Amino acid sequence: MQPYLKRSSVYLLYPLILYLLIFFVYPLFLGLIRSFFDPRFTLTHYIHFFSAPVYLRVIMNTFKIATTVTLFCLVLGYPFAYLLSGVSPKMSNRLMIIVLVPFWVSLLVRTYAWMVLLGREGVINSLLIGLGLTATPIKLLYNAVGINVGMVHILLPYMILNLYSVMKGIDRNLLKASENLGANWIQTFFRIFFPLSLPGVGGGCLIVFIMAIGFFITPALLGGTGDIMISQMIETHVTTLLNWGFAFCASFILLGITLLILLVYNRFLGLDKLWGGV
Amino acid sequence: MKGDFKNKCFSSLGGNNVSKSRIEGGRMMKIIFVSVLVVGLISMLTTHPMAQEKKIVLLSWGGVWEEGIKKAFGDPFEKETGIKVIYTGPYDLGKLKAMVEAGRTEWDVGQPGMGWLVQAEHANLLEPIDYSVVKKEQLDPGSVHKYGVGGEYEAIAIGYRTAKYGKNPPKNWKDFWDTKAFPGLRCLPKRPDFTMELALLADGVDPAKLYPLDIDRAFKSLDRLKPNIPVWWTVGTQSQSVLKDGEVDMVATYNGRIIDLKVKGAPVDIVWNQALYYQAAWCVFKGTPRLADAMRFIEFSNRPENQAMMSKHIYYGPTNPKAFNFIDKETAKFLPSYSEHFKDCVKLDFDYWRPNREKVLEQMVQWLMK
Repeated sequence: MQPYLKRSSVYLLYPLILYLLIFFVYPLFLGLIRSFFDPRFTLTHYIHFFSAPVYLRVIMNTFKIATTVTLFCLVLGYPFAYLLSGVSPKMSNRLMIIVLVPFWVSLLVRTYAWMVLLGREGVINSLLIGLGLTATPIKLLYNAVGINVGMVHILLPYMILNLYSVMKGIDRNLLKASENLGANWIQTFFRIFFPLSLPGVGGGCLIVFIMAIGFFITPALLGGTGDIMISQMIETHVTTLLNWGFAFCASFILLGITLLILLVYNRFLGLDKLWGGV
Repeated sequence: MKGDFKNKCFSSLGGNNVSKSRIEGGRMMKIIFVSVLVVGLISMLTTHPMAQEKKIVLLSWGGVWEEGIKKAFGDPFEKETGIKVIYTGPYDLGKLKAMVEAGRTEWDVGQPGMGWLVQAEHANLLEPIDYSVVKKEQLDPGSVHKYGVGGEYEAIAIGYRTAKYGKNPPKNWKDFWDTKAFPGLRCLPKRPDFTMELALLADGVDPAKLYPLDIDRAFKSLDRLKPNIPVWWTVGTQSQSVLKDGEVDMVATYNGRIIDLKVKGAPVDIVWNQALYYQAAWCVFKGTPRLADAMRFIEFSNRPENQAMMSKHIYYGPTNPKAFNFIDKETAKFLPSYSEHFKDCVKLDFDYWRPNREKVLEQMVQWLMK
C-alpha cells in the first residue's frame, strides 16, 4: 500500500512530543535529581531501600500479587476474547458492552461495591447462609480472594481488548485449511489458533502486569493484612512522611524494574507485536 | 481526493503546497484568533468578580465535618465580617509542601490533627498564630501552641457491638486484647501512631509512663491479638463500616465515628476509659495572601458559643471549656473533653512520633507482612 503521508509529516508528532517533554520527562528528571540530592549528592535513599528489609519484601509482595492477578485475567479473558472474535459482528458488539461497562464506573465505587458483596454479612454470604449451604460466613474479604476479585475486575478489560485485537486479525482461512486437512477442533485450536494468538497473550499480560504493580486503593481496601504494595509505601512517603527524596527513589526503582520487564519482553517476544506489527 | 485533503489540512502548518492554501490558512488563523479571544473573555468575566470579593479558603475534611463547620463557623463568620468562606479538600501534606515550594499557597486555614500539624510545622509549612488577634485566655492552656491553636479534641476509643458485649462491655484496652473473656474479631488502625500506644496500654503500661514508647514490647503485645484482626482500617469511614456491617466486634477508632453510628441507631457503643485524645488545632498555611482574615476566622471559631454549635454537629470536644455552658448534658457525654471522661483519657504525644514515625512505620509494615 502506498503510504498516505510523506516521511516529512513527522512534524505532526511535535505537539505531543513537546507535551510529553514539558509535563512528563522534565518533572521525571527533576524527580530523579531529587532522589540523589537531599540537598547534597547522596545515595542514602537507595542504600536505605535495599538495606531495610521491608522494601524488598514489599516489592516481592507486589510482584506476587501482580502475577496472580495477571494469570487470573488471562484464564478468564482468553475464552471470552476467543468467543468475541468468532461470533457475528452484531453479537460481538453486544458482548463488547459487557467488557466496556466497568470502564464507566469509578474505581472507588467498584471497590466499595465489592465490600458490600463479599463481606461477612454481605450479599453473597447472606445468600449462602440463607440457602443452608454454609453455617458460618465464608471469608471472602480482606484476603487473597478479595484482592484478586477486585483487581481482576478492574484489569480484565485490558486483557480482553488486547487478546481480541490480535485474534480478530488471525486469518480464518488458516483454520479452515487445517480442518480440511483432517485436524479436529482441538488440534486446530492448539496448533494453529493458539500459537497465532500468542502476541495478544504477551501484550495483554504485559499491560495488566504493569498496571497491577502500580495499584494501591483496591489492595488497601479489599486485601488482607499483609497485602501491602509498593505504591502504598510511596504514597505514604509523599503525603504523610514528606520524605520526597525517598519516594522518588522508590518510584525510580519501580520504574527501572518495569523497564527491565519491557526489555526482557522485547528480547523474547518483540514489543512491535504489541501494536499489531508482524 | 486524498491528496487535496492532505494539502488543505497541512499547508497552514507549513506544508509545501503554499499557493493553494493561502485562503485556507487565513481562515484557520481567523478561527484560532476568535477562539483565543472568546476563551480569554470568558475567563476574565469569571475571575474578575471573585478577585474583588473578600474570601478565605478553608481546608475541609468534607462530609459531616464540613456541614458542621459551615453552620457553626462559616456562615456566621460570613454574616459578621462579609468574608466569604470557600471549602476545599482533601488534607494532603504533599500538596501543601508542593504549593509552599512553588510559592502559590491556595489554602488559608485548616484544622488538622496534631500529628499532621507537627509534620507540617517541622517542614516549615505553617504561619505562626497571631495572638494579638486570636485570644488564648479562654482556651484550655494545653491547646495553645506556636503554630496551632484551639479547635477541638478528638479521641481514639473502643467502639463495640452491643449485641455481642451489651451485658458485659469491655472497660479498657486490656479487655480489647482479651479474646478469651471477650471472644470476637477486632479492627485497629493501619498506622503506627495510635496502634503502638494501644498495644502498650493493653499490655499494662502505666498511661503516665507511656512515652517514650517501648516499640518491641508493643509488637509483642500485638502478636497476641493479630490472629483476631481480620482487617486494619486506613480511613475513618472504613472503621465505621466494619463495625456496622459486623466484619468485626470491636474497633479502635475516632470517638466521632462511633458516636455517629450510635446516634443513627446502629447497635454500637463507646468506651471512654483510656481513650487516646489529641487536639485538632486551627492553623494557617505558609505564604497565604489572606493572613489577617485567616487569623480573624480562627478567633471567631474559638468563641465558646461557636465551638458549642460545632460540637452539636460533629461529636468532637471543645478546647474552650466555656463552650460547655452552651452544650446540653446529653451531647456533652459524647465529647472527649467532657470532664466526666476527660480525666480517664490518655494524651497522645505527637512530638514523639515526628522523628520516630518513619522507622516504626517500616517495622509495622514488616510485621504486618509476617
